Order: sequence, then structure tokens, then C-alpha cells
Amino acid sequence: MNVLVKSVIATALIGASAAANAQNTFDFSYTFADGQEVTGDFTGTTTNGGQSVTNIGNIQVSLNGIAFAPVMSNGVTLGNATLQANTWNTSAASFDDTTPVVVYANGALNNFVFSDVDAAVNTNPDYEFAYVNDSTNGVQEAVAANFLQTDSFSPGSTQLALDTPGSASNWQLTEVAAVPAPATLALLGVGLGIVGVRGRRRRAI
Amino acid sequence: MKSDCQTPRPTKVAAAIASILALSSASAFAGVSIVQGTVGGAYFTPPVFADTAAASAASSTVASVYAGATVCFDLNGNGACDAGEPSTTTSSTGGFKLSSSTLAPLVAQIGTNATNNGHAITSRNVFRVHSQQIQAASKSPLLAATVNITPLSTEVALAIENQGQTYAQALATLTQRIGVSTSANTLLPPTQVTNSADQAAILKESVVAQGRLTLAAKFVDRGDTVGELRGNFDCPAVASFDPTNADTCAASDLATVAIPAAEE
Repeated sequence: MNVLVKSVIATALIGASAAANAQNTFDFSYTFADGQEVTGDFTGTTTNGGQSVTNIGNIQVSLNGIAFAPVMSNGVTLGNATLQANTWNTSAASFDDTTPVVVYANGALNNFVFSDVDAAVNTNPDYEFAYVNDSTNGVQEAVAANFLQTDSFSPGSTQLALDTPGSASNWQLTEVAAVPAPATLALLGVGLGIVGVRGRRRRAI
Repeated sequence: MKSDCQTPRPTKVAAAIASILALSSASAFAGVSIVQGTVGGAYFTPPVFADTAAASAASSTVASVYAGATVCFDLNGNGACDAGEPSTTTSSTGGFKLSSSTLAPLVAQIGTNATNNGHAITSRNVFRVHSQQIQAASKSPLLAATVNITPLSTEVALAIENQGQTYAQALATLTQRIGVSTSANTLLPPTQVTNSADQAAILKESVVAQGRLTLAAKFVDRGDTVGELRGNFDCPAVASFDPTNADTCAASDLATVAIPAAEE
């Protein structure tokens, strides 16, 4: 087979692989019964049009427009800039860091927490958004708390929103854009480069 | 008759006073704390004795909720809601939601600006929840624990602090003493107890406990010292009791105390 054709096929395969492993960005929001709202986004992969998302990363969360972000207090930085996800393990009735986190478009399936700590081993987050539907253990809660910030919804204490997930429409998960992972982007670049070099050689001959 | 009720009742009053006077300290546990619940109790109306039947009325006790009460995490363990402690105000249904970066006991300050089932409150009261009760109700510190603040939760807190019981022991003891069928009902706000017999038992105990706690709050507001209070309640038979030094009241004196008139 012609070398150029081989290169084109290889490039196509790499491209297809890149598309399959694309890290997409997902926007989410949860509206509490009292009108408070959690918004944010994260990157992840989906194979079913965004019905379920795995490989969660780059998490950003805000509660009533105030970002989950570090705060300086008396020269000390409180809070971690990087948020992570943990799964609520319905068998163990606790958060763990071994079960892969899956975020669902159907809110009634969600069992996760986004916080600035590993919730499996650290119970002192500075901010958290937990969305748990565990009928087995009687835990059905949406909780958003920022222990570093205040707002008018929670006079006298730090930010807190809390309810029992009711209407499914309270939770929204939307796929925004495909963002190829850096590794696959590099492979795609290499493939295209090979095609270019082969084409130049053919023209030179 | 006297021997049956000599020690427990004065001891409870003293314990209630002690708690309001902050003789106990806050428990220090790791982890944040998120709670939700209801401040509830009983609304009691005494009997009315009149010359005519129409003007007379029997007493009544109904399950109630406290609206407009201040609920806080008692971070310094002084039995009061201080500036800087996370606090909120109960809704019209007595409900509250509150978070703290540190687990601590809960206090509900029921002032005269609050209402009991919509009725004005003429004498303030203080109910409490021990941090062990919060821990027992919590599936995870990152999730909300449902904890109700009632006269009975206050009794459990006092038993933990003053009698050295664990939360489980205190709850089991109280449940058995007042005759509630399951401990799952004991610390519910009476409005949420569906078993009528259990509700009646809880209401009966709530009225008694509320009265004691109100009395204790009055002593505090009056400025009585700890020594005076302990002298009044724990050591009335000790002629040489020094009200400025409560330590002179020995534990053995508790066995011979009489019920003071004030508690009746």
C-alpha cells in the first residue's frame, strides 16, 4: 500500500481516537427550594450524549455567584484552589475515593461531592457541594456550603443551601464543547505532520 | 412519698442551672457540621377555675413549635448564643438550617420575641442539643444531620454532661423512664410523633422539663450565683453552707435534700 495512503489512514484513526476520548466541558446548576443556586462546570468524558459523565476534572463551583475559591485571612490562605470529586458509596454509606465518580444528567442518580478536600479521609472542607440520593441509607440531600463566605441567604453564619432533591428540573447538566485531551492532540499533530512530509517528498520527486 | 422524689428532681434543676450557667464545655470533634431540624416542645395552658362552668376551663397540652427562636452552635460552650457563633432564626414552622466549620453543641434561645405555636412567650427559655447527638444523627459531616432541639434533647444533654452517660445511654434511660415505645420517637419534636401514646408521654415530660428550664433561666436572669443556687437546691440541710463556695456542698448531701418550694 502506498505510504501516503497509510499515513492518511493512520491519521484518521488517531483522529477518531481523539474524538472518542475527548474531554468535554459540562455546565451544571442546581436550584435549591429556597432559591439559592449552585452553578459550575467541569471536564469529563461521555459515551452517551452527556447522560453520564466520568473522568471528572477541572471542577469549578459557585454558590449564589460566589466562587469556591481560597480566601486570605490574617495573612493565611484558607481553602484549596483545586476542587475534587468523591463518590458517595451507598454500600458503605460514606464518601470514598476509590469508586469512580459519575455525574448524571438525571439528578436522581447522582451520588457525589465536589469539595476542596478528599472527602473520604478529610471531613473539614472549606467549601462543598454534595448531591446524594441514597434511599438505602435514607440519605437524600443536596448540600452546598462555603465556610469561608457569607451572603444574605444565611444571615448569622456562613453560606449554606440545603434541601431534599425534589423536582428533577432543579438539576441541569449541559455539554458545552469538546476539548481534545493534550495527549491525543499531540498524536494528531504527529499524524498530520507525517502526511505533510510525505506529500512534500512526492512533490519533490 | 418524699423519699421517692428527693434526689432526682433537685439534681435535675441544679443540672439545668449548671448548663445554662455554662458549667459544661463544648466538645471538640474534628469535621464541619451541618444540621437541620425543628425547635419544638409543648404549649401548656393551665386550668381555669371560676364560679361558672362557662368561665372555667380544663388544662390543655398540645404539641408546639417555636418560631423566631435563635439557634446557634455554642462554640465556647457557655450555653448561650454569642456574637461570632454561627446562628440563625427559626421559621414559622420552627425549622432551622445551620452550618459550622466546627462541631459544637446546639443552643436554642427562646426569647420573649419568639412564639410558641403562635402564642406569646412571657418567660424566656433555653433548649440544648449535645454534640454527641449531632454525631449520632450524622451520616457524614459533609451532609446535613437532622437534629431537633426540644426539652427532651436538653435532658439528654444534661445527662451526658452531668451524669457521665453516653448519648446512647442517656437516650435509652430517658426513653424508658417516660415510657416511649421507641427511642426513635423520643427526640422528635412532639408535632412529628405519630404514635399517640408516645406523643402524650413526650408532651407530659416536655411540660415538666420546660418548667424546670424556665425556672433555671429566671434564676440566671436574676443574677443568682452558682453557690446560692447549689445552696438552695443541693444543700439546704447544711447549716454551715457557704453560698459563695459551692464546693463545700459534698456529694453525700445530695441524698438528704428536700424538694424546694420553688420547684413545686
